[in-house]
Amino acid sequence: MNGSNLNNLTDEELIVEFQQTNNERAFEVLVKRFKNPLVNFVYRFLGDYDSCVDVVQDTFVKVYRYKDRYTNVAKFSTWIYTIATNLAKTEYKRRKRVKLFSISGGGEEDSSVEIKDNNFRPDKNLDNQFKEEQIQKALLKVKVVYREPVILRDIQGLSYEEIAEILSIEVGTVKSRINRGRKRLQKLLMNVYKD
Amino acid sequence: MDIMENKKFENLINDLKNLRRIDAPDNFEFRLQTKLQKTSSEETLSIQKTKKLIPAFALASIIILLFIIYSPFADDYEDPFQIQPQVREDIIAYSENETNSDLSEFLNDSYIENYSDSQTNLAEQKNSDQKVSADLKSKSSYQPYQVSISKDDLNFIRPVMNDEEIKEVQMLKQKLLGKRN
Repeated sequence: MNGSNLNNLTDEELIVEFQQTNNERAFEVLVKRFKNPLVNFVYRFLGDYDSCVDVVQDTFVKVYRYKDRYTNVAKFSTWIYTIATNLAKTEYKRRKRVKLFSISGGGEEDSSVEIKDNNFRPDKNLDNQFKEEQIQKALLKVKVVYREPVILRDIQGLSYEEIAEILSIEVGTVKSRINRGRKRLQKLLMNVYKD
Repeated sequence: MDIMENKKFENLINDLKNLRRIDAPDNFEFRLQTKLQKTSSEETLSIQKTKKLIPAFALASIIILLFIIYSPFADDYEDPFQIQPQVREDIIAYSENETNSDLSEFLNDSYIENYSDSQTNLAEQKNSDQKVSADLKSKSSYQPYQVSISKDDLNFIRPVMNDEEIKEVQMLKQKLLGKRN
């Protein structure tokens, strides 16, 4: 099967092609399709670009090595997001352990120390970049259990069912976690959303 | 309800949706290829290492097996079917001859008046023993375990007699022997 034909295939068809014929071009197409969404997701979760790229690469390495473990029962996107989420969580825990000795807390919502931002000027109009920075910082302060579903839903645009499958929790739990995560975010971004 | 909730967080949701997309670096595929090659070479190396170790593992397991089967400590092991049964000290076995000799000694020593009683007791005991051994012999080729116990080992109560008593016993002895003769 040539490259142009592969581009027309769905994600599920591509992974099956890769499983059955070991066609590396099918894998390359999958990498092209998922590298940016995954980098975006992991970056929003970890807040560090280098680590996020490493995590996404490890995700693809796992897909390559354990391609036969994928079954057609689930969507390929759900499967790859599950791998990325698990690796991101592992990386987050590792980073937290390392940070524990440098800065107390590590940015989560229960932390007692608020990191001061000298550039923060509530009297001035916030431009987009500044707002983004504030949102990213706030995201990292939200607990992991609420952060994950909020990113997957509001940034990545996945359905509740997909998120439930990725996180191995009930749809109802996903909804409540998203709600609590949003509330927490809004509270943290009080200065941004004054009204 | 979702719509209501979404309205509550409308601005936040919109901002989250419109966040700048973070893209993978340009050399992402190249780095991934390098990583894949590295991991696959590491995998093949580990497989090769494992293959190399297979004969060593096999040899080691054979040695362990042989050691278990022909263990030098195997002599210490007692086969319960081969060991001799324990001798019960509370059971005193005796033979007919021993009984007679014991009896004569017994007579020589003392207690002549109890002789007839003890004789009958012994005879009864002997009869019962013979009955049991006869039963056992008839059932199987059972050989009773022969135990020789010296007289000193037996816990006889030796009476302490004064001279008068000794004389009396001697007289009785002579009387008895005279009667026999």
